[in-house]
Amino acid sequence: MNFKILIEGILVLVFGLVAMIEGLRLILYRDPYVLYDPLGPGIYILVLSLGLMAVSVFHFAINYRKFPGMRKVAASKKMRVQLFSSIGILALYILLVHFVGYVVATLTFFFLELRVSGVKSWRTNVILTLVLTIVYYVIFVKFCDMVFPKGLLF
Amino acid sequence: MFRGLDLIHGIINVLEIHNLIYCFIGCVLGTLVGVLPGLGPGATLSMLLPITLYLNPTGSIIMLAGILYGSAYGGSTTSILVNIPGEVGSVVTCFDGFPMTKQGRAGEALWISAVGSFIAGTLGVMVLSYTGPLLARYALKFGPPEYAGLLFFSLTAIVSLSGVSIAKGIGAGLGGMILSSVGVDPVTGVTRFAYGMIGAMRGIDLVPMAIGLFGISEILVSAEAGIAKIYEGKLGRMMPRGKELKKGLLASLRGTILGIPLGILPGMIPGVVAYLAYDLEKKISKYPEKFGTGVIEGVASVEANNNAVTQGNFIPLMCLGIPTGTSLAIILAALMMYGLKPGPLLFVENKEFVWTVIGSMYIGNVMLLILNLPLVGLWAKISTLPYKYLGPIILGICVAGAYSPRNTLFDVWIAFGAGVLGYVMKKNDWPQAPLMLGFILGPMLELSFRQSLSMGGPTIFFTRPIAVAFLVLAVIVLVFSVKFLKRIPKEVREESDQ
Repeated sequence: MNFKILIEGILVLVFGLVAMIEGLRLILYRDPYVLYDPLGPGIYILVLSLGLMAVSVFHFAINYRKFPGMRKVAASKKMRVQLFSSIGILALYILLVHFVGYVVATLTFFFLELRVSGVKSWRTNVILTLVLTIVYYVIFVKFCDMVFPKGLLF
Repeated sequence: MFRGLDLIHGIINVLEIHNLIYCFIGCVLGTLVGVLPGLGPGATLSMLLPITLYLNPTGSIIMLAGILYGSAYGGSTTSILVNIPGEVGSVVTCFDGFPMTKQGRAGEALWISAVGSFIAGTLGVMVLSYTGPLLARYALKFGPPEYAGLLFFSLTAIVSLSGVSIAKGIGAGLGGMILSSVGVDPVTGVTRFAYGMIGAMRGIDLVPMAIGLFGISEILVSAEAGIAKIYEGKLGRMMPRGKELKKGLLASLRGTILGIPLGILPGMIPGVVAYLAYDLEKKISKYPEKFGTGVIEGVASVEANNNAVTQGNFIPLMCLGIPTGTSLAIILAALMMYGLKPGPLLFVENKEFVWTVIGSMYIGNVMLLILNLPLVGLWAKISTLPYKYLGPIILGICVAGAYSPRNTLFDVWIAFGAGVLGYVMKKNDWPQAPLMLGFILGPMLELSFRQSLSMGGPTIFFTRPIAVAFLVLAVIVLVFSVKFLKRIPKEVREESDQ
């Protein structure tokens, strides 16, 4: 059995199931005085969710015996570490914007992300971090008037 | 009816210095994203979308359109020089473009690709200028049932022709439609999928969704790849001579004639249509066995077709408000953000805006020809810009871009989630285009469908001939797509669903 297809099928099925429950909830608690909307918000969601669940079952039934394709070259361990680090740094950045404010969070993000991406020289890294943070601050905060959370710092 | 004076007025508007600058920036950025493998027009448009909120509407749309058709020009450079397609539409260009480079004819390939793109781009805008107002006038007669039929047909075409698997296309499309229903129901006002979260009650905004799905996921995928090659050989003679020139120009015309009508149809992704042009050229050629070894028609036809499709895509967007692909969907979002209603009324209520944008396409095509021919060496060098610099810069823009429309970190988390989802989808051959199109067209379909049912129940669709025609077309396209996709080589389909 192809476990990748199994996992894909299960994930899509769960997504469809969540949507189906929401659709049923909306049908059960429908406002009885709304007469102008025969489809209602729930039936639409229910139809989509049933379609999605049918697709997941069909996809699994058709492909579960197929051997996983070898088209895509597996990434090296170094690349995978870089990828997961980038995802982690991005998540940290969003959290930091909330807690310490845009400027400090952006400085931290660029410093870490440039390092992880392969800028090994500390000097280049620090210069790029400072330049990029200033440029982004000018563009987004000064030019675009975006109001970021102040956080604990600024 | 074609309004020559409106078009001339539009072109005069574009010649104002600020509009010319927007057009130039769009063309430069478009060529840049075209030559940079891994960074497509969808990602660039989604990242720039929030910034354009601070610019004037006409200038922004001129710039965004320039990025879209500019990328179709730039995509050929790396395909021809280093055998790496800069964007999806240029996958097929590699077939004959790179062999021409190996024969020392890179200059000829680049020349015919730029000139072919110019021919296609200009003819495409001419068709838009003539047919746009006609189609818009006809579409003014559409009511909710006709729109529901049209949207259903568009969605079916997009999910059916999305790439490797129809089941995955349908699944992604339905997933997008479900995600678009998060928030307040447009008819009754009840909240859906909110689970008590204030952010979810406001619904999922298009901008963070697009930024995540196309911007962040592209960077995550590119973090695993990287481009180290650079073309260091000579370009050779630029302009082909004699019979080669004639063959190239005729092939460009054929590619254009095939591309424009196919560009109008939803779901016709550039990579697949480019292969159709290539296949046609091979079939009518006296030496089909030589295709793949460096035949000029193989480059000319495909590149012209690629641009013709891009220009053709603007016709349903501007006349009917229907995006035929993800990049067009982002331009649609930009139009809506400015309070403009894409569709037939655009030609009536915002005439000056429409004709200025169309006028900018004529001028943009000339700019792109100038940018692409003498500066080809520069673009080839830029294409090797390392991701270690590009990645963090783009991620930083993505975060600010996702935050900007509604000033909430909830949207940034949505972009983050969509980015990871997009990455997982790409790695597992799930097409992203149907998800995005389902997300954008879903609410329109739901609303017009519910309005139609309120007007006359389910039978209303069978009493309106146009609506019936669209529903029949949807069934035909679904059946036809199974056979059609089998004819397209696997590598083209797999690249096209990215």
